Amino acid sequence: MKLIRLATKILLWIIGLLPVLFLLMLSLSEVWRFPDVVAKNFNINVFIAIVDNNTNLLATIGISLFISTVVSVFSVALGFYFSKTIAYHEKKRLWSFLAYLPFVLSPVIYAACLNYFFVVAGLGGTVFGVMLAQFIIIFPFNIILFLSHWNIRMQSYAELVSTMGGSTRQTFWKVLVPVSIPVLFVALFQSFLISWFEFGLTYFIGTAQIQTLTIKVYQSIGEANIHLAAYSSLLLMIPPLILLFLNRRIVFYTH
Amino acid sequence: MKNKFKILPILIFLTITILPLVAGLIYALLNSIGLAGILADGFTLENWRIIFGTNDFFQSIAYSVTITLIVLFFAVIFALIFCEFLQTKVGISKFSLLFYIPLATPLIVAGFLTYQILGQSGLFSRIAYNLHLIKDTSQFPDMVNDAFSIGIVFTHVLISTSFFTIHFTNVFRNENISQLKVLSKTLGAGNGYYRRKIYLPIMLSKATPTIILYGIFILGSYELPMLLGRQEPQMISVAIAQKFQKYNIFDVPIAYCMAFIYTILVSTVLFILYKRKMLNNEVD
Repeated sequence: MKLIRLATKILLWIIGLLPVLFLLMLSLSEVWRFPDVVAKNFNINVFIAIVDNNTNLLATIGISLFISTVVSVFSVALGFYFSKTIAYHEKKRLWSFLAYLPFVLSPVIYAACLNYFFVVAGLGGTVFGVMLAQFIIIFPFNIILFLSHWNIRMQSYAELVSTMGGSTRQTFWKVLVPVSIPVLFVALFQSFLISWFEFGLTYFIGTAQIQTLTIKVYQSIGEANIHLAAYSSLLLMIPPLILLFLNRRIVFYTH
Repeated sequence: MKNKFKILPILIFLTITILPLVAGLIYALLNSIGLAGILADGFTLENWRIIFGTNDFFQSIAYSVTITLIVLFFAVIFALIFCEFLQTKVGISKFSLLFYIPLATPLIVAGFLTYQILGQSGLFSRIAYNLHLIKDTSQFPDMVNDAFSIGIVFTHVLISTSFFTIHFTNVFRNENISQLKVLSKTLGAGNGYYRRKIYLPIMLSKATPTIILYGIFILGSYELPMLLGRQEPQMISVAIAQKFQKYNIFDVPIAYCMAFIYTILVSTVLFILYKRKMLNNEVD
């Protein structure tokens, strides 16, 4: 019985990890000709590809990490701070509705509408432009996320500190931020993933010159280089897969 | 003084969130009526006439809505079945990896995988060939860039089913449906009655806002239809993006016109949700 249970568990893992295994097969091989089911010429050249100047993968990983880290830190910090005022405002429902708007629009169509302003400001095709464009959608996401965090309990904490003579600054830094650390981390991971997965805004505002990993996958597919596309895809999936093992809910809410 | 402190954060929030959207929309409108952009030659309704005079835009919208409805239909049904089965029979934790991996896959990667697995020279086609089920790649059913959009629907259904299964599981737990099931059984209700009168109504009413929001996400999706779709008809995001990218400069104002109409349509749907107090954080 134990053996059957173990076998079922292993089978489920294999099915679940099938996309990752398939990408791994394409990444570690050089040839996958029809009608071969399994690719040929397995080697570890792919690891050399990371530092190969032709593929620019190291730079791509660096840019992706930089953009996602900066955007997520800024969106979470500002989202946390501003959502407090919005949550206790009498027009909270209206602000919440407005925060949903940029977030639910198709990023490609939103990028198309914004493109003119980015070009005029000289931000088209720049890393800062891509970060700003991503910030415009990830910031409202954080506002929505934090709105339910600012509940009566948090308000009571703030009032208690205020009653005991604490200043607004002390209340925020010494009480509200420390008790919010877990939700801040969740928000940070989610924002990082949204930025990490982002394609439409990055592609249009970055005018395909800012090579994040998603753009790299797209360009490799266009060049019919399925091995590089698979390898870039695999690199793209590493952070969400790590998060899957740390906290599955983060990946769910990112969607 | 207190009011000033309240207004400033709101103003900054609106500047980041709404100002770019409104500015983008106004520019799109001005461009579409010939008052902005390289082709600005004075007021004209020609681009709007082209949009309303030809079928392209409405075909794209109809196609996008059809794909969205088909995906939602299958995904919600599958997720309802999985949720009930996992909750009542085995527990979701053992199977959770199956549902979380698709959510950890970026859409561009999902599109690439579908192409390599379902395509005519893809993994399944190779297996079929080696099993002597087909003699040539052309005998393998067309599931990528095909007339019925099987690849797009399949990939979206796979990801959406995972999403909804986990979402429904949360609703199941929050609404104490297992307790209601026990209660209904104690009072003599059968499985069919429980499903029709308790399980489905509670699940669907609680999940409706999320289903609609997810529908908007599918409607505007770009990566999957771009990789797995056909040149004709195109989903709305792809149609607009291609008009921007084409070398024909006269298509740009038409693309702005389409972007403007799409944004207004999506905003209206969201506004209806807001008016009916159905946006997520209001339900929870």
